[in-house]
Amino acid sequence: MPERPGTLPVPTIEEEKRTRSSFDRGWNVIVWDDPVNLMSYVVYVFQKLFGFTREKATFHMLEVHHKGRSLVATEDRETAEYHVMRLHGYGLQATLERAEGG
Amino acid sequence: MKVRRCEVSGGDGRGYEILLDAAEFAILEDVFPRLREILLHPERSRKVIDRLFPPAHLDDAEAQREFRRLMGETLLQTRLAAMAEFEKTLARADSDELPARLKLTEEEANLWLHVINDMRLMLALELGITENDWELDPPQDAADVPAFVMLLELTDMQHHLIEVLRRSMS
Repeated sequence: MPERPGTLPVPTIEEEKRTRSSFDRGWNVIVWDDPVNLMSYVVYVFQKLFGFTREKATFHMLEVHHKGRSLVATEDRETAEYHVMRLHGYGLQATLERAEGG
Repeated sequence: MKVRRCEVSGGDGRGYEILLDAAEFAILEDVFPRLREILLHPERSRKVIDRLFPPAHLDDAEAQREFRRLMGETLLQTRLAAMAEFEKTLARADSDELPARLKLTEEEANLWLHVINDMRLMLALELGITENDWELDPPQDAADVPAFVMLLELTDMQHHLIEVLRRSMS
């Protein structure tokens, strides 16, 4: 497509994709500490929902336990909300928040 | 509760045999209908509903309303469906012969985990539990002791179920 004089250049498809991708993956899924959910249960849920290895699931569970929260995924908003809904379904306290630069 | 892996006719053939003693069976039959009543009539315990359906957006009321509008009904229906399935499977257990024995498919066992956890969350809220080491701190009020014991029993059941489900993951 020829570029018309006096107008802004049309971004290439590649640029559009990159911009969209960086915007879309701007939502963090956070899991919060809870006094009732068992540690083993939280590890099980992380493995089940996110396909984490046992080691990675245990790392995030311990982060929740010791620091009060853990970032378990960064996704586009729709996917992040879906993760949060499923975590709520398992009885975990989860929220989403904009990632820095997201 | 005793749980062991076994073959079942449904699902992918992988399943679990559950053995429930009299107390465990009675607890499930007692707590389960109370939880279902709250889900069907949210006004009966706003705090349980708020815990089972917590906010997804803490700092954005509009986004939270949208989340609730889009996901709230799905989450409620998923929970009610899990409870209906739980009730059906529990009815398969023969409580005349103790320990009550029943077989669950992988999917049914996973539903049990959901429902047992929801029951634990409900009891913990009723007991006002806020600390991680709640198991070491029995209630002072005698009226709360039965709920505390039920919570301990459900915790034990959940622990056994997780151990076996986890082994089948690896």
